[in-house]
Amino acid sequence: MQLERQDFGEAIMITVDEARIDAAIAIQFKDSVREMAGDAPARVILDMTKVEFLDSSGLGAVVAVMKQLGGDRALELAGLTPTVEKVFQLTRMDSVFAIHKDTSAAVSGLAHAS
Amino acid sequence: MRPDASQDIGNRLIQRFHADPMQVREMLRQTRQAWAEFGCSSDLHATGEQVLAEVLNNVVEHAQAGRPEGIVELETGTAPGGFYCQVRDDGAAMPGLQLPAGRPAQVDADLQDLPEGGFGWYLIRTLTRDLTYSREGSWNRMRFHIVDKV
Repeated sequence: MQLERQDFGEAIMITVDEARIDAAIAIQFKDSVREMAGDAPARVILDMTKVEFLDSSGLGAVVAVMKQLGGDRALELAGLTPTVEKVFQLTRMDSVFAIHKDTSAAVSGLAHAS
Repeated sequence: MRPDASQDIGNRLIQRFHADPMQVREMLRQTRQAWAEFGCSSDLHATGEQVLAEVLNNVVEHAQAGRPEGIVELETGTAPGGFYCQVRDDGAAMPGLQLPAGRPAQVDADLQDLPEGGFGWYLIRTLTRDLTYSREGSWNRMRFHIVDKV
C-alpha cells in the first residue's frame, strides 16, 4: 500500500499512490490510512488524484476510515477522477464527505508544515 | 488451471479463473482489453468494469467463500448498443435462488451508523440491463447487458 503524508498544521493530506482501491487491497488500505492518521489534527484530506478505480469494497473502506477518525475529525476527499466520482454520486456517498475539486483547493489557506 | 486460460473467438472472450481477489484484477484487465478490441467506448468500459468487479467480488466473497479452488468463468461479447457478460461459478447458490434487491444505502445516518457495505448490488442493478440469475446443477449463472444510456 503506497501512501504519502504531508502536514499542514490543522490538516494532513494523505496521497493514495495506488491506481485501484478494490477488494484485493481494501482492508490493507483501511488499516494503513488509520495508522497514518492516528495522530492527525481536525482535518484529514485524502488525495485520490491517482485512484482510477474504486469498487464497493474500496468505498466501504473509505467510509470505515471516516468512522474510525471519530466525530472530532473529518475525512475530506480531493481530486476524484471521473470514474471514482461516479461511484460516490451513484451511491449518494458524495453527500457524506466534503469533496474538493483538487488538492490545492483542499489546502488553500493552510501553511505547509513539512 | 492457469489464470491465463482464456479463449478469444472473434467478438467474444471466455476466461476461466480461480476465485481469488488478485485473479479478479487480472480478469478485469483482460476483459477491458477485449472490450477495447470490440470497439466499445471508454465510458462503457468504465461502467462494465465497475459492474463486473462487483459481480466477481461477490462470487469470491460469498458463493466461493473459503473455496480458493472454486472456478469462475466469464464470457463477454458484443451485443446491440454495448456488450453482454455471463458469469458462471461452481460455488454456493444465491440464498432463495434469487439476486439481492440492491436497495440504495442509507446515507442520511449518524456517522457511526453509515454503511460500510451493501453498495455492490445497488451498483449492479443500477448499471445493467436484462440482469438474470439461474442455478444450473451445481453452477450459478448470471447474465447482463451493459449498454449506452442506462
